[in-house]
Amino acid sequence: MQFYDYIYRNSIVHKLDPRTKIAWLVGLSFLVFLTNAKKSILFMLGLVLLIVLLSKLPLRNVWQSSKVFIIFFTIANVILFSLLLWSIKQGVVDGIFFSIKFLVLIISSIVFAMSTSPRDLMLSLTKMKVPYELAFMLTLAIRFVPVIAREINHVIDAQKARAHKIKFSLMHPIASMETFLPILIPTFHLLLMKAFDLSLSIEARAFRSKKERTYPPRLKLRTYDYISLIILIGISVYVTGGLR
Amino acid sequence: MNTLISVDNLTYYYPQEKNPVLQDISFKINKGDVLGIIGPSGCGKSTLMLALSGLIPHALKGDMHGAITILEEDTKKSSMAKLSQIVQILFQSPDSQLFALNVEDEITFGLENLNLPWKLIEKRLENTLNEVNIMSLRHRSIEELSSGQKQRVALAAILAMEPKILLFDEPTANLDQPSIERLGQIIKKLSKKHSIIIIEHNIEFLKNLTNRVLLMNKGKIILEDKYDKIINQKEYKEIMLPPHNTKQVLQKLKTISFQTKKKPILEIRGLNFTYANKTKALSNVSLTIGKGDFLGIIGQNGSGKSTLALNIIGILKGNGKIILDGQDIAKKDVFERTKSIGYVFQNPNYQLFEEDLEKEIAFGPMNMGLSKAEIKKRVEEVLQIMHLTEFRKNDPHALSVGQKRRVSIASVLTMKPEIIIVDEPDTGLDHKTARAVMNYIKELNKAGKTIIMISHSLELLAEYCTRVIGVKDGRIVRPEEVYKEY
Repeated sequence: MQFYDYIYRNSIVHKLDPRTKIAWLVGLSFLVFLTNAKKSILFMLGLVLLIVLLSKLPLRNVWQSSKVFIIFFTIANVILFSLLLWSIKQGVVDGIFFSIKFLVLIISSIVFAMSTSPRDLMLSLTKMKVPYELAFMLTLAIRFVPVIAREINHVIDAQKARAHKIKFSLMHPIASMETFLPILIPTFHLLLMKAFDLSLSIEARAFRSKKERTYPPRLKLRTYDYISLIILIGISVYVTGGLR
Repeated sequence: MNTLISVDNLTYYYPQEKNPVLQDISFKINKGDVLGIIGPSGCGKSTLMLALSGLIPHALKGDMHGAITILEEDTKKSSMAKLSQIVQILFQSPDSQLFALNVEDEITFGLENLNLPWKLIEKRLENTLNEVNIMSLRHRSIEELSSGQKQRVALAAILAMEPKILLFDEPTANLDQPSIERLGQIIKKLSKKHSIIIIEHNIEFLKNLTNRVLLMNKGKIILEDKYDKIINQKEYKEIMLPPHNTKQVLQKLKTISFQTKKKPILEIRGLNFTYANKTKALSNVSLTIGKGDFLGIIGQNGSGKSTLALNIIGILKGNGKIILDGQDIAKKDVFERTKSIGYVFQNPNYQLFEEDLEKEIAFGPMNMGLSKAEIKKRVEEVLQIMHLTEFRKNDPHALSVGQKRRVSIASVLTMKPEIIIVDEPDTGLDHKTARAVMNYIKELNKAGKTIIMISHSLELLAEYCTRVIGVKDGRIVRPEEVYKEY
């Protein structure tokens, strides 16, 4: 189980500073919800798809991560708009366009996550004045989600070997909850022990022992970051111009 | 100055505990010393390590009396920033010690916390990667490393702090034999520049590494001497078992058969298993297990031995036939198979959840839908067999490691399986406690149960198994093929 699915590729999108990518992500999200012009919405969908191609990310992975949202939002919006407008034809058109807005947001978030190494993301957060402790907690979360998932699986296996079955029934919620206890209690116990060990080893390596700490001088805004930001401004002018 | 560490009348109580875990401990460590600390499980060794590293009292409060002076720094008055550059600790489980996303970040973490200039950090990073011989892992993600590799990364991360003193907490606990040997060589090399303290249950590991050994029992130091002398003393023999003699053990293993001589109870035919990430873990495995066999399975980490055992109980399901008492059970689920096959997991903490021991061991038969009277009968029987009657109302989490191991065996025994799989039964136990647990398993075997034991320990395999097989690259091999790497 991966909580954060970073895929390395030698692409311009990967090379951009995470701060530039955050600006793009925020910029696109605002723009797509600001505009209602169909031309602009289609333009932004095209733009996001172009970014996907530029990122050289495996299309299969992008599709795998986004398909649930694409299908769900499209169906839900088409039904919703058809009912609201009481016209299937209008509902389908408006529903699809409204879904595209979400898709632009979802696909660009997926490309952002897949093309930004979590360590660079954390570093850029600290550069953007997010407190170090918070960025460090996020690193720990990303690092330990697979570890925790593995522990939970071990606990499930160990209880299965004692003929335990997890039962889930909406009719008997309390009885269902009880079947989760043999999994939850050992898992919490293990996690508490792990958290305790972890806190000791963090302390042993002088965590927060000094007021200042060193950050790797890895991230720098380069020429292509500035160019891409200028392009973003250009797009904003075009799309907001389209609003009038 | 020759003395690096001076421990004077150290007594320590964990928060809210009435009994001290360390009592009036005094000793010295000189420059160039490699000191081993041994003693039964729960004797206070690990707590002593935490005190030596300064984590007691800086991270763990409790009640500390006496003093530890490290290079003229009183640990009570000093800071973790200072102490962390003098003494560093390699914890038992690397998974609890590594918290960065890749190897490079892990190694630089402590140095960044010390606010050192980046150029110096980079230099130290390169040096330690070379010293531990992991330059090739530099950009790898921590998550994808093997346990041996993780341990070397954790070691590099503490070496980067350039401490004068290194503490190792049971460093061989999760390693197979080739990794243990590699670690021994690394420690030998490090001992030229550092003073080293090693806690170990694997006493033989200390033989060629240490110049002194401390024996602890019940929070006190009871002996301090050279390895060869300490193992011959009366006090040692009273609480510890003699170290293993690898040559004798290997000799004995040669006499143990590879094939079963008994009537088959379980037959595996052409079993293949591939994990979701496409790693092929078992290739065309065929194996016959006889009724009453005490079968040992040996193999390096990742060889496929646990995958094989998990396929037998049905937690994993591969392609192939698994015939139990003449019936193919390959399609049956775990629930069905638990009527005949029990599985004792390596870590008892994966199972324990009830408030008292009695309920804990009744959990299996209750899931099987047995009557209350039958469950009660079985619980009484098993409490007696495993000598757990006096703890019947105790909280299983509060028991010692050896007792917990017995509880996990007991919780499988109440289900009355014909075949019992035991995964690394000696993990985290000293030799004597491990032997005590093994003797219970031996009794079960004598009473007719078929035992399948996965183990890295040649000594346990030699002493208890009636047959031993090896697993290598997902195939069954003669055990000699695995031993020769030992």
